[in-house]
Amino acid sequence: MLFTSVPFLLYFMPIVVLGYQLCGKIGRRAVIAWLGLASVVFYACWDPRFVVLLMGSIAVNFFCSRMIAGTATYFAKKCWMVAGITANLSALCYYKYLFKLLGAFNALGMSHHLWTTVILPLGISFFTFTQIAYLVDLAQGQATPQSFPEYALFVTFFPHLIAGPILHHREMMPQFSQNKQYRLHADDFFVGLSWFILGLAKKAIIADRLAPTADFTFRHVSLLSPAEAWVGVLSYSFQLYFDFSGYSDMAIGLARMFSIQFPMNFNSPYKARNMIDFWARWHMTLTRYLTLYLYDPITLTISRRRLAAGKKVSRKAQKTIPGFTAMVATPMLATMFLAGIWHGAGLQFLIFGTLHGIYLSVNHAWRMFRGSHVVDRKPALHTQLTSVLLTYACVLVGQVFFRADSTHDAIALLGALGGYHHRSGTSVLTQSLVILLGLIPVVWLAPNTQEILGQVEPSLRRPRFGFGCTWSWAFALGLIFLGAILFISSSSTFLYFQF
Amino acid sequence: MNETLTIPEIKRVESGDLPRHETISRTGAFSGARSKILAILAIPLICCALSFPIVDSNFFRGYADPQWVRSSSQIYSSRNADCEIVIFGDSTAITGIDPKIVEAATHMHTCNLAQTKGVLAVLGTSALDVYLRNNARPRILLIQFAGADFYSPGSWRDTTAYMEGVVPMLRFYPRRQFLKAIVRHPEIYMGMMHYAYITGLINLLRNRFHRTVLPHSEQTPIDVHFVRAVPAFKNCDRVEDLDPIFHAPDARFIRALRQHYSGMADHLILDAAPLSECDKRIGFLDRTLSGIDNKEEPYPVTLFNEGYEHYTAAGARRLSNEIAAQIESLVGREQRHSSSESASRESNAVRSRGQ
Repeated sequence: MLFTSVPFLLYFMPIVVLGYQLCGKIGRRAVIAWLGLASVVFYACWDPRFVVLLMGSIAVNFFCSRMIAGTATYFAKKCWMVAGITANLSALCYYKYLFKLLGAFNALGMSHHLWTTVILPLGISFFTFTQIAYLVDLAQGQATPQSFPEYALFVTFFPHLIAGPILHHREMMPQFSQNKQYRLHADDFFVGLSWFILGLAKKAIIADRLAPTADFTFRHVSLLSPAEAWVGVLSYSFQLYFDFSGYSDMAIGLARMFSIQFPMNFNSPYKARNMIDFWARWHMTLTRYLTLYLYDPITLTISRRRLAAGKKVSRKAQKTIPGFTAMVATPMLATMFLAGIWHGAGLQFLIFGTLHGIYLSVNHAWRMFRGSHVVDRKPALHTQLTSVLLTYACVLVGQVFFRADSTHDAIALLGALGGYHHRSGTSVLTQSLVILLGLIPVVWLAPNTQEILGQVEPSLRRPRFGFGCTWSWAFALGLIFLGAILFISSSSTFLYFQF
Repeated sequence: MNETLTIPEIKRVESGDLPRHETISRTGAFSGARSKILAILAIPLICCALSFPIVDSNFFRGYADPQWVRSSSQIYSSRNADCEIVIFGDSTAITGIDPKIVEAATHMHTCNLAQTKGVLAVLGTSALDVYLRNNARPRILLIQFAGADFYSPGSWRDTTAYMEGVVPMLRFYPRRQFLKAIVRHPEIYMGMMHYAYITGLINLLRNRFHRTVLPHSEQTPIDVHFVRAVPAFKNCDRVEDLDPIFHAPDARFIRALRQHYSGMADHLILDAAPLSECDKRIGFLDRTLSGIDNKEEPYPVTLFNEGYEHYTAAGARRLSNEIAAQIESLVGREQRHSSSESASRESNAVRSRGQ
C-alpha cells in the first residue's frame, strides 16, 4: 500500500487512528498489538505471500536475540549473532542478488541455464538491516532484550517498514515501552499531519511532475543533445530528492501522529559544501547505519592490526600517506563499496559506491593535508558557492550511475552531458526546463520541512514562516493537501521501494 | 572508540546524539489543535464531495468537458439515428476508421461510435448496447479492437480511475451502479476531483467560457474519428522502446461478442486492428488470435504516430478503404447469393411452368 494511494488515505489511516484511540483505553499492550496488526495488513496489501517472509524473518531474529540474551559467554553470543546475520544476509542475497548474478553469468557466456527470477520483497533491505543492527548491539551489550510484540512492532511499524528511515532500536524501543498515555494528542497529530502533507506535496506536486522527463532521458541516452541531457539529469536529481525526502517526511509525519518520533532522514543535501557534508545530510539514517556497523568496525579492525604491528593510530599518524590510506581511505572505500552493493546488483551500483568512496576519501585528504587553519576559516561567499556547485556536480555524476540501466548507458549519458554526442535532440524537454528553473530556489534557498516546522533537530529551533497551530496555517495546509491530492498520480510509486 | 577514527560530521548523528525525544510543548502553543486538524481535513473532503455534482452539472457538460468526453458522450444522447454501418471498438477504431471514407466507398450512412480503452475498461461495450437500443437497427455492425485487447475489457482490474468511463457512468447509468463502482474503486474520488478542478478549469479557460456542447437537436451525426496531431514514426527505433503487453486474446470474449451482437445487425464483423511492422507481438498474436473476420498484413510503421496502434491520417485512409472493401465484399456476396437464390427460384418456376 502506498502512502499516496486512496485506500491508504481514505480507509487505512482513519481505521488505524480510530483503533489506536480505542486500544489506548485498554492499555499499552493493546496499542502495540493493534499497530503491529495494522502494519502487517499494510505490508500484506502489497503481496500477502511475503507476510510469511516478513514474519519468518522477525521470528528467526527474535529467536537469535533470545539466545544471545540467554547465553553468558561472549563467544556463544557471538556465534548466535553470526548465525542471525548469516540468516538475514542469506535471505537478502537470495532475493536481491542471486538471480541477477546468475543472469550475469549467462550474459558472460559462463552458463547457459535459463534461471528463473524472483520478486524482490518490498522493504527487505530495510527490515533486514534494522534487525542486524539489533542483534549486533545485543551481542555487544548495548541493547536490552524485548518482548515479542514490542520487537515485532519495532521492525514492522508501517511508517518505516518499506523505505525507512532506518530506525535504531535505541531511539525506538524506549518510545514503545514508555509508561505514557497511549492516545492521540492533538498537538502531535497536528504536527504529524503537517509533516505528512508537506511530504505528500513534495512527492505528488514536484517529484511526479519530473518523473516523465527523467524516465525519458534515461531511456533514450543516445538520442539526447547536451541541453536535453542536462535537463534530464537535473530532473532526475530533483525527482530523487523530492521523492525520497517526501516519503521520509510522510513516514515521520505518520509516526508523529501516534506521538512516535522518527529520526530525520534529509537535511537539504544539495546545499552541502563538500561530500562529507552531503552524506551527513542525505539519507542520514543510512549514513548513521553505515558508520556504526561498517565504517567503525572496519576502522577498529585496521587500527588493532596496526597497533599489533607496532604502528601508530593517532590523528598525527592519519596525516601521513600510509596512515591515511590505511585508516581513512581503506575503510571509507570498503564502506561505500558495500553501500553501492546494497543499492543493487549491477556494475553501475558498484561504480556509484566506489565513486562516493573516492569522493569522501579525497574530501578527507583535503581536510587533513591542508591544515586546520585553512579549514576553520569561514570561506568567502564565492568560495561557498563554488563548493556547493562542485559538490552537486560530483553528486550528479554519481546519480547518473545510480539511475542508469547499465554502465554503458551511464557513460553514454555522461558523454551527452559533456557534449560529445552532438545529437540534434528530441526537443521534448522544454517544459521541464521551466519546472527546473522554478525548483532551483526551492532546493538551494528555501528551508526544508523540519526547518519550516521547527520540531526536531537538526532543524533550526525556531520554525520558519511562522509555523504554528494557527488558522492561517491550517487553511494553507488544507489547500496544500488538496493540491497534492489533485496531483496524485495513481500509477506512480516511490523510487526507493526497489531497494 | 578512539575519537580520531571517526568522521566528525557523521558522528554528529551517531548514537550519542540520536534525536532527543522532546515532546512538543503542550502548554498552549498548540491550543485549539483539534479544530485546526478538522479544518485541514475538511478542505479536501468538501472539495471531493462537491466535485460529483459539479461534473454532473449541465454547465460542466456544456462548457468544461474535454473533447474526448464530449465525443464519446454523443452515443448516449443519440435517438433514432439511422446509421446503416455502425463502427465500434477501441482507440484503433477512433484513429483508424474514417466513416466518411467508408460511406463514400459503400454508399451507406456510416457512424463511428468507438470508445477509448478507458471507457471500455469501465463500461465494457455497454455504450454500444445503449446506442442499439435507442436507434435504428444497422445493416452492418463492425467491431474493431487491437489484437491484444480482445479480452474482457470491462474487468477493470487495475486501480486507475479512467475518467472517460467514470464520467458517463455518473451521468448516464443508474446511481446504484456508480456507487458500487466507487466502493470497488475508491480512486474515483481523486479522479473526480482532478477532473472537476483541473481538467474542467483548463477546458473552461481554453474554450474561453464558450459553450462547446451543442443542444440535442443540433448534434451532427456521430463521428468520433480523429487523428492525433503527432508526427509519424520514421522507423522502428521509438516503437521498439515501448514495452507492449502480451495479453493472450480471450477466445471466450470473442465468442461472447459474436453471440451478443449477431442478432442486433444484419451483419456482424469482428476485426483486429492491423499492427505495425515493428510490433513485437506480431508472431504472438498470429498464434493466439482466432475467431475474427480479418487477417491483416502488418502496416508500415510510417502509418502510425503514437503507441502501437494509433494511426496517422494516411494510415486511417488505408484502413478505412480496406474496411470499406471488406464490407462491400460481404454485401456483394450477400447480393450475389440473394440474386442467385432468386435466379434459381425463377428458373425453378420456369421449369415447373414448362412441365
